[in-house]
Amino acid sequence: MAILKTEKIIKKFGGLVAVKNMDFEVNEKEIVGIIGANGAGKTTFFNCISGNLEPTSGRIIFDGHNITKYKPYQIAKLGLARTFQVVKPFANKTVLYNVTVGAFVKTQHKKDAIEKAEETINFLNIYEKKNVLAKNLTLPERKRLELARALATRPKLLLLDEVMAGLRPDEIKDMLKIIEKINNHGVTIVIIEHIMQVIMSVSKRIYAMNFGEKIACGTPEEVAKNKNVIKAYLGDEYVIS
Amino acid sequence: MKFSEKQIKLILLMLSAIVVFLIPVFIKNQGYIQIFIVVMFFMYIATAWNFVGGFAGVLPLGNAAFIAIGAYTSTILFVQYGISPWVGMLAGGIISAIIGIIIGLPTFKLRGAYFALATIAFGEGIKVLFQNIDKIGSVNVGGARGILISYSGDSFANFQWVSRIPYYYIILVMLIILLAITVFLMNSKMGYYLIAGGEDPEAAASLGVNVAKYKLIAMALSAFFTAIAGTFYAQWILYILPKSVGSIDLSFEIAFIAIIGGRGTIIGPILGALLLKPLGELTRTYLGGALPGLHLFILGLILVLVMIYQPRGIQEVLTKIFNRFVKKMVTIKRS
Repeated sequence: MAILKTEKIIKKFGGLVAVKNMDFEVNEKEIVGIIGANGAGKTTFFNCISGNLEPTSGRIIFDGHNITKYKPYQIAKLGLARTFQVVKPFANKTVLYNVTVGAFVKTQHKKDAIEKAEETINFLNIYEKKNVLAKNLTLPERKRLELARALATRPKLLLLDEVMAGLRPDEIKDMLKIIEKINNHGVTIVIIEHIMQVIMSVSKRIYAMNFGEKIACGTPEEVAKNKNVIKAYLGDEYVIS
Repeated sequence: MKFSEKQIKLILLMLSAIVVFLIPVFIKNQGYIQIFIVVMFFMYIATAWNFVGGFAGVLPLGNAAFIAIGAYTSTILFVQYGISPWVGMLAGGIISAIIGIIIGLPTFKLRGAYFALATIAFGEGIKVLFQNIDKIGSVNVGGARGILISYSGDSFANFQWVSRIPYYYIILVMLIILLAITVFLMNSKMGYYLIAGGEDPEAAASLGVNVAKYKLIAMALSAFFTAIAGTFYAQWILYILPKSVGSIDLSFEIAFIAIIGGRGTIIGPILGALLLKPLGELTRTYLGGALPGLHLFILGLILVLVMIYQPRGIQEVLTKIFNRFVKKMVTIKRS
């Protein structure tokens, strides 16, 4: 069953069409990847789903709700969480404080929220950092904090925007394990990533975007062999016909 | 006897509370009591400012307008209709909170300096209104001459005393209540959401925080409590005029005290007022004749220095020293 579905999403910035007729579907408990070159419109598409941008036209259905015109906080409350490509920690607060803000979505009580936050921090193996100020964390730690905060809202669906950009190969491996662990707990995941091997290994299905349009969709193998994808990534001369 | 750090802190807090409560018993000089009242008055209004200026992460520079609204509401009700200032205090607070929300609705969309500029305009606007309106219908606003509250004998209902000591205890209780509310809020969902929205509105929204709503609540609270201080001021001085309760100098001073002390912390405005107000009073007393306005210049200089070397306010250093001191106390007691 589709937990998230978008119909003909268009996002224009003045004359520029950043997202063109995106039809997109994610089934419950799936991991779906979105690939594409810089400027392909992936993050803009994400921003439309999470409510940070309002699509020019089209419809977004999440978990039975038409969320097209919802504000970001309303969408987050429904159980759709996201991370940002450029991490946005509450810099002057501790890791625990950051994550507790996320945990407050499901409770009114500080004690419950802190308990849930500690659980989440533990789950992501950053427990020993819980009293460190967010501004004093390293980049991989900040990425993990970003993830922990989103996860603390106990989402049904998690949008991950380049959580692995800037990480070393061993850190990427750790992150992949974490993503699979989150998915095993029943959280549906949509992930944007640049690094092809990474997204190929973790996603069950992949959408490829170029110049705001969907150019291919299918299993990682199908997408990797798709003519349009090869053309977009490598150029016309690499297409074997 | 062994005490944990937490217990020592609690004991120290209790001790300082007892000292503060006993000050009027030992210090009989009304002039000194007056200085204590000034200090606590500024602690109070800077703490009220802190809801928006500290926790919500924007910079309001027009808070004197709320003091004016509170002072004028209760004074007009008292002088012309004989309604007790205690009732007027509440009325002023509610009117101020509503105006705060009306002002907050459009201005919270502005970022950084633009929000500050909008609040300056609002503060000045209110002052100019009070200066230029003599009468609204049968209500006498007093214009630039202000309103004099006539003394009609010591009375709790009329909020009037010759002695300064009742004022001392009233502002002290007001301060304690406001601090208790602040501590409670900061440990609640509201506090977490307010601070998150102040640090990064976009990230907070993605975590389910209705940033605008919490900022408006903070604004309403801040305006409410600031207006209450306005009524206190009116009954304490018994004379209000637009320049004394609604001036931009006052708005700036509130913000300076909170920022130098450490905005966004509970102790910041307290320390700020404790250190800066006596300093201001002294420079005003001893140098005010020769160089009027020097105390504002000194305040500005301190602000610049603090912003360069201690951007999180003097509370950071002082809290560190205090914590070290408490730790030492623990080890001494153990050995």
